[in-house]
Amino acid sequence: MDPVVRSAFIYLALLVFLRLAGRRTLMQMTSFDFVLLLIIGEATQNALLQNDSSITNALLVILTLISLDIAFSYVKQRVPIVARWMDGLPMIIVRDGRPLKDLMIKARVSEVDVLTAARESQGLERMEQIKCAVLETTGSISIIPRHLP
Amino acid sequence: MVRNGDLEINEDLQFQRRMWKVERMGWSAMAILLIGALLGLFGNGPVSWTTASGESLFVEYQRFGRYQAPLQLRLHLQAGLVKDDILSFYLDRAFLADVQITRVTPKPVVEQPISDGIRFIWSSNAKDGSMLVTVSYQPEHIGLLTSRMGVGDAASLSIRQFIFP
Repeated sequence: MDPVVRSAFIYLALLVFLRLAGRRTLMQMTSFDFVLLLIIGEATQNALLQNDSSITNALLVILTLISLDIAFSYVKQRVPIVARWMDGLPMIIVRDGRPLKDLMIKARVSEVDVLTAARESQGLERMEQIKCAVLETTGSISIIPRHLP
Repeated sequence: MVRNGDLEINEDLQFQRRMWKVERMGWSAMAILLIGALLGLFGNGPVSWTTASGESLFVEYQRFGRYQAPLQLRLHLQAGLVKDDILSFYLDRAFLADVQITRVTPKPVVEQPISDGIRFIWSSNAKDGSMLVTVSYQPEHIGLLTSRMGVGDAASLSIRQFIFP
């Protein structure tokens, strides 16, 4: 019973924490975010396994985590409201070369981030060349170029 | 899927604003938890440490502990308790059942099982001055831990601790 309850609790707690951190936190991985991810993994490990290095315990933990993952994906597919709250929705942050400032501030995305994404994915040089920029649910920014005359 | 300009996208700004509001509330909750943790709400801090006094002894202990994390009882035994060079102290069965005692300092000469727990016996010839005895232990049970203890045959004193998972 123990490993199942323990892993379920940690799964849910991590879900809430990472969700509250927002999509920008762990998605656009800087080297520091990578270290953060490692530390979170390390901190979680002991609580998950708790002095019990048996194969049974490890398998029960893995079993629980994967089952929860399947269960959540199933529920998300059937109940859109759950999916919205768990993953968020995509949001347009630049329209016709004009950044939507108040939305960007709330989502903690800067114009520099948008321009970086524009250069990386489309080779664009200026904000005005962007028709649309969308902050996706994964935390990445997708760019649709504008064809200027 | 909704059309938004040329984009086929399920954007919903109203939902987005609601989500941000919940997100900010979540941040406040996280801040409150953090402050609580710094104060000792989850063990080891000013809110956690407290004392209880009874007949011939007073105990410093923590209100909050964590599962399998080290805790300590600091027992201050009053002067004049030594009889025939012997000083004794007992802990009840509930304490024994729910924690693992890792160390008692100073080391008792005898550890005696008694009907309702365990008795520690030290040999001492101190006639005055109070004595400090520490019991280090790890909770093995989650939830409320109520334990009774006492010196010699004196009436027992009970303390309550909450053990977080």
